[in-house]
Amino acid sequence: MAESIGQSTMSGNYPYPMERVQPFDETVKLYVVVPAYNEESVIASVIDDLTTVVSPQHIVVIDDGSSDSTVVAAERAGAIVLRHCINRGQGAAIATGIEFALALGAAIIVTFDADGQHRATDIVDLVKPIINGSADVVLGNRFLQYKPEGIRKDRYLILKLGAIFTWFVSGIRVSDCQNGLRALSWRAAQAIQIKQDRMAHASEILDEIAREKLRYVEVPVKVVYTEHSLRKGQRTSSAFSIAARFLFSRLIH
Amino acid sequence: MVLEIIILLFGIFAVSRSYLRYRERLLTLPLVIFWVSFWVLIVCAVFFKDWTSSISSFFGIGRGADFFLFAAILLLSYLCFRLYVKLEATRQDLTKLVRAISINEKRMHLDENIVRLNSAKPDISEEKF
Repeated sequence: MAESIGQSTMSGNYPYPMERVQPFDETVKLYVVVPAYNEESVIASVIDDLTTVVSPQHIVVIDDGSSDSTVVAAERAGAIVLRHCINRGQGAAIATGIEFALALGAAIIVTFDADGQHRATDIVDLVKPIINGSADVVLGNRFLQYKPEGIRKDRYLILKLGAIFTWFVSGIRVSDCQNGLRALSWRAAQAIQIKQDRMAHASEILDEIAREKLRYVEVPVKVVYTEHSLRKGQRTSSAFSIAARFLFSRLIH
Repeated sequence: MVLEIIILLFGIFAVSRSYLRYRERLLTLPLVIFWVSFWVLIVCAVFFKDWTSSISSFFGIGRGADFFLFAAILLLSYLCFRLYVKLEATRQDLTKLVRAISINEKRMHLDENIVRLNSAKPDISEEKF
């Protein structure tokens, strides 16, 4: 069992090469929240990549009721691991992570997907606007500078439609409305309330930014669509149900 | 007459279900009274057609059945809506519960570790830090 975890983490699933930079040490209250659901094959390499930027004690992994050994793999990699006893969805996992990070005294909270589509070194540029005080929320944007690798045409189109939808509904103009890599200041993390348990939380966060009048900025990040992340990720067709869920929740709250 | 009998049978079925759910304490007494009287009303409406026609003409709707169809759709939509809201509230409560459990679990674990560390190395001098 132990060997299989070790082997799978070293396999070609994870696209980014490791380079040690570690610009944030213990004194910087930067916490990375990683919601994970059945990610035993890549979670260890994602945490390894993150430790090039932050110390392992500042990585909060929320295992969202996985049926595999994500918890074991994440704990072995040295992260703080919280466990949802039943699956509640990515939005719920992120909210748990944010609450716990705030309790640990976080000043900046970064959310980071566990499937290996993000690059840890992007966090350095991501948190700069918060550190120099020019923004409360920094949103990763996969289209700004890098061309997303391996993106399918329909996925691209649906993300663009999503951006227009967000602009229309929340009044926030972003070109990448479903990016899992974002940074929140302590103040923003407290103000934003995530009630959408599932994937609609991304739109909800944007909505909350508008409602709380938080200052936000977009920063280019690299997203790589690996075979693993595509398999784990959302189907293109589910975009409409996400949008419907989000609109309906707005009606009843 | 076939329709009347079908509706009567269905009404009896629904009333018996309501009663059984009440016995299992999944329904409260007011809710049972509501559902039973609802089904009794439906069955009555099918058997006494002139009675329903007089109500519909009062509301300005031509046929008795139309009025009941209209009212039923309205009621059902409202019940659906209420159900959705309730479900959503339950979902959010469930998430809160799961979140609290996970955070408490971790807190207790961390506290235990701190206690264990302290008891294992009681002679750590402060100047070391």
